[in-house]
Amino acid sequence: MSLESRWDRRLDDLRSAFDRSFGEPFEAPSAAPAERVLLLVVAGANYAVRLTECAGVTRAPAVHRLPSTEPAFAGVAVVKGTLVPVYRLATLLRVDPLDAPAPAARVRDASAMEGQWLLMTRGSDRIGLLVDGIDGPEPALLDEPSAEIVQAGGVTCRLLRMDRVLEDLHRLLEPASPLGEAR
Amino acid sequence: MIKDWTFGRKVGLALATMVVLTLAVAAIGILALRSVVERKDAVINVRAHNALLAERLSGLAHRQRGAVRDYLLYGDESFAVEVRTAEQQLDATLGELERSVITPEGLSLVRELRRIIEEYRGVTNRVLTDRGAGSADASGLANRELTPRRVALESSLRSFIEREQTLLEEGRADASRAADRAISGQFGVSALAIVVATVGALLLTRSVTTQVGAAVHSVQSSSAELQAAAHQQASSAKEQATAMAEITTTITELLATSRQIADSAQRVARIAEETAASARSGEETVGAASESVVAIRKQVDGIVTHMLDLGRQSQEIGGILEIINELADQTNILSVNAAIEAAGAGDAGRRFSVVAEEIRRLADRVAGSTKEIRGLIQEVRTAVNTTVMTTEATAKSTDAGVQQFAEVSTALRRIAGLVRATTDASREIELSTKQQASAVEQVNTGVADVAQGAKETEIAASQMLETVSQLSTLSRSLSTLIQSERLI
Repeated sequence: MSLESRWDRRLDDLRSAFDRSFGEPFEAPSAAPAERVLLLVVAGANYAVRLTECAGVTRAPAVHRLPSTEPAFAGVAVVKGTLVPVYRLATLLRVDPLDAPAPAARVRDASAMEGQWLLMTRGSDRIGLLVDGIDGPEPALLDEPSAEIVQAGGVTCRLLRMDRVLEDLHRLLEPASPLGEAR
Repeated sequence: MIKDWTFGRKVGLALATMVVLTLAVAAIGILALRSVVERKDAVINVRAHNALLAERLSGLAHRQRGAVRDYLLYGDESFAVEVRTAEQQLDATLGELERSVITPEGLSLVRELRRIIEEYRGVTNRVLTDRGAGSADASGLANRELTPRRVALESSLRSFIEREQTLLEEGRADASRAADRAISGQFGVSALAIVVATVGALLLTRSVTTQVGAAVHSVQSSSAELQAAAHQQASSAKEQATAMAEITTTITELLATSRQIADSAQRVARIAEETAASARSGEETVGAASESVVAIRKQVDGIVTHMLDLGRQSQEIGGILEIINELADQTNILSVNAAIEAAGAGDAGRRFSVVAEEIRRLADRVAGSTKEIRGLIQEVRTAVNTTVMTTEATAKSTDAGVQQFAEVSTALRRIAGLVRATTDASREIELSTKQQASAVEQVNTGVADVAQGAKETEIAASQMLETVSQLSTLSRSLSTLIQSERLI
């Protein structure tokens, strides 16, 4: 098959799929969906976080460095008009990038959004966490509420609990932390 | 120096010496003979003639005296005439005698005779006149005057005759002595010639024997060398004859080869002409192909231009795809955030989460499609680049092809020229080879003649060998003869 014919056929497929997606009737979910998680890539490792624990994601904005003794603190950035502190999630999780497995085994090809991403946490204290990649959201089967390992998007990953991450962060920042100072 | 003379010079010298001696002997003999003859002639011509004239004078005087006596007796006039005639003869004889006598003494005697005769004539004339006049004293006058003068005349004539006889005897004796001296001189010179001839013959014999002996030795050694040379020449002639036979065979083969070369050269010329025609046809074909390649080159330039345009358009498509991809990315982010918001909304956001999920899927699909399109565009760009490079390579190859076509055309023209030169050279080779074949035939004929000459040389060498053997035998015989001569 020639390149031209292959190209034309592919374009036709895309065009028809796009048009068909708008023409298909909306089907409401019949049953309660499973827990939906957002897949994260941190220092080459896959993690999952509940959507309910996230406030949003965005491309990593420009981070302005500030003097600090905390290595996880990257600086501050403006997200949607709000000044938020930015931390490196890998440092917080104490994950060494050198111990990470090969990237081909941890990132899906089709929907993975590579590069520096900023994950906004939900809650009163909005902070941004720098991650290497984001995928999903994907439904995840959680046998128990306290389960730490989940299967989502065809990969096995560790489930992060944002409240614990924030607690650990609060402990690190006490008593003189930029977050405390911000409070 | 004489030792170095040749045999001929020495014989010539001896012969010259003998000739000189013979000439000397002959000259001496001739001189002696001439001396004797001169003396004899002087005796005969002068003395005897003078004596004869004196005797004639005496006779004429007797005749005159008798005529006078007869005239006195008879008085006949005829006797007077006879007297006159006798007187005239006396005068003539006396004149002849005067011219013949050369000595002073003889001349004195002749003058005395003339004086007496003149006186006798005067008395006679008077006697005759008296007798003619009839005088009786004529007889007495005659007795008185004529008798004393007659006695004086006879006395003078006798004296003259005696003197001439004496001179005649002396001349004869002188001639005899001259002849004796000539005989003695002739004998001496002949003896000297014999001695010189004997010595010269001995010297010549010795010299010739020495030289001939050396020459005979040289002839013997030369005969030996010549015999060896004749043997060698005979063997060489045989070898030469054999070699000539081989050369004849080789030349025959060479002749056949030359003819084959001539035929081959003729075929080469014919093939070269066909090759020249093919080269001209090839040149025309190459010219047409070169024009086609130039057209292809222009088309390739057009392809390159189109490919570059396609590359630029694909880049533009890539830029649009980046925008689409960015939109899909933003849509995806938006869908994620929408899902997050829906999750935060609880049950109220469940339907919204479904929409967000559809949007995310759509964004994912768009992203996948854009990625695929990007890959396709990359493939297109790669293909374009490959095509451009291939086309440029094709253009370069086309340029090289054009250049090569030009070179091929030039080469074909050169080939055509070389083929023409080859044709000419082949024809020259054919002609030269035919001439060579003709020359080889002539050489073959010449070699056959040389072979015949070698055979004749062989025969001549054999004959020379035989001759040398005979010469050797002859030189030995001559050597033996010379040794015998030395012993003698």
